[in-house]
Amino acid sequence: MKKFKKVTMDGNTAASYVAYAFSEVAAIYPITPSSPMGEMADVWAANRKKNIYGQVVDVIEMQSEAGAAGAVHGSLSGGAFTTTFTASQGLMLMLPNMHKIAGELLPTVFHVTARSLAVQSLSIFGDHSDVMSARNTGFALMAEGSIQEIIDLAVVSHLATMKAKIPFLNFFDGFRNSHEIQKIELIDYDTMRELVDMKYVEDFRKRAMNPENPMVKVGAQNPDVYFQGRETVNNYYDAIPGIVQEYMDKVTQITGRKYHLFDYIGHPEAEKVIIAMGSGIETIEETINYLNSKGGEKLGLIKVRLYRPFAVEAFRKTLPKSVKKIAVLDRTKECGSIGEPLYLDIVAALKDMKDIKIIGGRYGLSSKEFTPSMIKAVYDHLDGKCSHDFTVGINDDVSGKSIEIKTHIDSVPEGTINCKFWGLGSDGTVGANKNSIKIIGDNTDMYAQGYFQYDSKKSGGITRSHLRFGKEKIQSEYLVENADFIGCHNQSFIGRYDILEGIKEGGVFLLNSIWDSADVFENLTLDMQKTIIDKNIKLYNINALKIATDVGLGNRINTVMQTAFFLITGVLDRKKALEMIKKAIEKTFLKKGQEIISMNWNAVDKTNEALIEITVPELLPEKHTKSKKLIPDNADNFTKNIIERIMREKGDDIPVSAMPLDGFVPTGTTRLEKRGVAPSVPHWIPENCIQCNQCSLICPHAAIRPKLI
Amino acid sequence: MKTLVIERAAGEVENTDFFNSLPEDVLGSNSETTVKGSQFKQPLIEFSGACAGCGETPYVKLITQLFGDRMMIANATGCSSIWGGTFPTIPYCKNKDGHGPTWANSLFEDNAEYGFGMRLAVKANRYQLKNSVQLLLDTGTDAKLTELLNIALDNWDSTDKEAKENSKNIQDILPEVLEKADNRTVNHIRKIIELKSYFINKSVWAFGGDGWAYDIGYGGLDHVMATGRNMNILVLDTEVYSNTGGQASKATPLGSVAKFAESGKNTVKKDMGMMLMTYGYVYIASISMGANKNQALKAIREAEAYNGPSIIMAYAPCINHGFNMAYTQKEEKKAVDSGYWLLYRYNPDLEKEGKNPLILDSKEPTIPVTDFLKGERRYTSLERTFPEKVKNFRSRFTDYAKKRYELYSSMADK
Repeated sequence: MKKFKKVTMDGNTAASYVAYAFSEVAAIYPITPSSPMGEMADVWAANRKKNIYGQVVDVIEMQSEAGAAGAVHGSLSGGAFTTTFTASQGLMLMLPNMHKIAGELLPTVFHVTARSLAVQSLSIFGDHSDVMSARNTGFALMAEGSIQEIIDLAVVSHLATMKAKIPFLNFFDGFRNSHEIQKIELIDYDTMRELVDMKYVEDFRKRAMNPENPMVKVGAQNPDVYFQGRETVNNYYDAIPGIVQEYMDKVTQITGRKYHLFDYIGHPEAEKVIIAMGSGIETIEETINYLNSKGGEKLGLIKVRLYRPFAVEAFRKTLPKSVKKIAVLDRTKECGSIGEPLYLDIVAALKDMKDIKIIGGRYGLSSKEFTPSMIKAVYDHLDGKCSHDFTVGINDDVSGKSIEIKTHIDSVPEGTINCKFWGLGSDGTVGANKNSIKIIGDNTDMYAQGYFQYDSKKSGGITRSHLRFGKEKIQSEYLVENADFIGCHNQSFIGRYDILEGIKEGGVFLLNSIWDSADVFENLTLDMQKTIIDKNIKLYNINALKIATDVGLGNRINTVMQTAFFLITGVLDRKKALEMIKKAIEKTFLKKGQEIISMNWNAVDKTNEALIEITVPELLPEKHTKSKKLIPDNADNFTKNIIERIMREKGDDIPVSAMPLDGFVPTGTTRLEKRGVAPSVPHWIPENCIQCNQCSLICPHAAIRPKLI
Repeated sequence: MKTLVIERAAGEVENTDFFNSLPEDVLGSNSETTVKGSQFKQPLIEFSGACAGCGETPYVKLITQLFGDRMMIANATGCSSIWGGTFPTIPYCKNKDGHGPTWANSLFEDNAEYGFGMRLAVKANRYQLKNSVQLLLDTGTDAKLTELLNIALDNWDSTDKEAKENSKNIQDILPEVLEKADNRTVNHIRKIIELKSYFINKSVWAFGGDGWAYDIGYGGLDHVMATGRNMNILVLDTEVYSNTGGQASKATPLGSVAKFAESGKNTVKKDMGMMLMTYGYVYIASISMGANKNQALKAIREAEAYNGPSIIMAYAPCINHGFNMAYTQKEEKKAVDSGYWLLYRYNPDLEKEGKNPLILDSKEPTIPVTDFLKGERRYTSLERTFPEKVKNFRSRFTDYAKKRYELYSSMADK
């Protein structure tokens, strides 16, 4: 086993780091959430970073994913190891070429941040509906569930494709893993190079198109031979599982981390088993560790790593003999099918084992939360109704397929600190929190995790950052539910959102407001006041806008809030924390110049003096802020049932019956969203106005309007 | 500018209620062909979630003021589809008659074709309607309806106030005529009722950014323009893939730093207008609102009126450019004053009148183009990351801008 560097990075960086190592060419096209993989490859190439062959990767942006796939195909045919990055509809544009690439036995790895397909609506978020549409391309499919697994198994994919000659689609969940930051152990490029058998590189080069050895890649075949031609590759597919396991073992030898085509986790005599792939497997593992140890249950989980080709024998060996019931969880929906793809595979793989009851269910479409409580509900469902074709995580009051979540559990290992930050889009909160989690990860021996939630407002929307750190490995692939620390970076959120939801007894609440410390408590809602008193919450206030404005940062309050977070939590000692924040600022704003760096450093120093702990009264004061009214009393049903709930960040509670059937929605509804996010608004000075109407013409939001009376 | 708290305390909420109670679309002696007059028309997009200072939305808003009550929009995936159509609150809105833009997003790569399909559907429906009207008139029907239908046929392509009024009158009278209809006419009247909203032609638009128009959707855009059919395209050119976080497109200019162009883009911006001019029958305009508001308005009106394919490339500053977005309009002016962006209109109708179809609305640059480049971080950040490249890029850009202006002015002067 080797000792490797520990770093704090997101899933896209991890995948791109490995792809860059093994590739000579990358043909790319931007699509959320995969774009950062291509962006990083481009930055590394611009800075002359070398791959494992000692070469700078040629990173080429194409005009579309279809173009990128065509260029990949050509580059592979020409004899260069080539990669690409994509997701969702982008992957759909690559499908025609993927069939060709597989059919021509060209080794490559496509890295995919699995994302919803645009159906009744587009969604940039994560599920497996895109990769499931690539099942019949002939690509091998490898699934990962955490940032560490992305590093380890992306290496396996790149090594296996060279030996197997079959292309690989290497995927992980969009946003949940692609944009999640975790502290992980890197495998360095030298070690990767040692794992490459140069014989396969030479073989690939020999098979390239070359006028010194002219051949033709056949263009067309007729009914007499096409079928036979299709069947020539069977042995190659049969060999893949063995090759993948061989390289998994090699990675294990180096890292100590064990991987199999299927991994079983849980009680050795489990009767109830869930089968799943992607980020959900981490949360399921955390949940069954908790339920098996605390609740004395006998639960199990099979993690699917190599999904295509599906290795039946390896799968059956993984399954404990004791199993009686299986719930297969698919993160996709295939309308009209008997069940979703993974379910159908499992049923087929166990077709002679009549004593095992197998059901399939859907979860987590478009990054819908998938929590320990939902997982418990799935195991409970196996004990109870045990119906097939169920859903978990929504309320389906139309077809009644959803299962109920009766008990709420907290399976995060004890000692893990959970933090949640409410920020305004473009205020820098997310960027600062990314730096914070890197600072903690890189400067302590703790595990660290960061995940960031955005809405679709281009800016001025809300963001929520979810940070966890602690001595135990973090497998919580879901949002912070029970928080030790909550930061509210904008006072306008109070009365609109349930800011303190889930805060723990004795937790900390940090508020950025313009209020004097004496007035802060009275400006909270009654619910918040009660929570703070009942749960013994420590309350801090800081006027971050004032500090930011004073140092010249305008409304960029992130540095101030980040500093306050470190000062309050004491996760690092004060001096060290301030020093590390300043270093991170320098790195982040290098492109923006020394002036911006100095302003941020200044903000760090001023925060120290301005942070105030508010004395919480023992009894409720007379004054409090009322919950904000968001919609008129006479609003229509769409506004009441949908718009208001989403405005309050309670969209997850909307039942299926309330949703429009075909994607049509009424217009003229943004006027309901009085978000009040602008620090200042236009002021009309009648005596200066020459009534030219130009201000109206150029107003981007139609806020300035003239009328003739 | 004052804070929201101050304005609200000063009675702004009540002022707004009063303002909203006043009638819309009162133009008095003003014409909607002027900047001033156009602004008395109700915007049919409002309060979008676009960034403060967004360069895209003012163009879209102006178009809805002019044609919103009969507009169909195909919107390419991108910023404009997110601020324009994200669940559940929608900025596109309706006028007092309940009319307003109807909007949809298919994909990123197919938007011109998607909009084109809408045009085909409108054409098919209007054809059928016209047929049914003719059949009904041939058969004979209610005298008042006959009069109104004849007005409609005589003004079949008109979209003016009178035509809209006539359409409304027809729609109002149809139910009672149906009640009195006999066996010979009932099916024709039913058909006309089914298609009654097509008496007024639709204004069909494809909106999208440069990533769509210059790159992924270019094949389709080119094809739709080449068909010669009546279709309007608005390219909101931010010179970068804005929605996915600022990756380079073929509209990204020389030396501009973008994602996928970490060391500055090494080639000049694709001149799509020039490419499309080779067809000779495509209306093409390049506009920049802050530089010349009248020219922008004129181009939009001409493009819509042109009975054939038209495309408007609108310069739209973006947060990815790296300047203070309070000054978007000034930046648009600076872009034109420096020769960074050209204003022109290429109108094939002029050729029919024996005139030069190309009108260069830009004046000779009054400031060096490097002054513009020095004001935006997408150009200046290279000074820190790859300083050795800056000088070369700047001199190449100066040369390119000069040659481009000369080429356009020589073509316009011919």
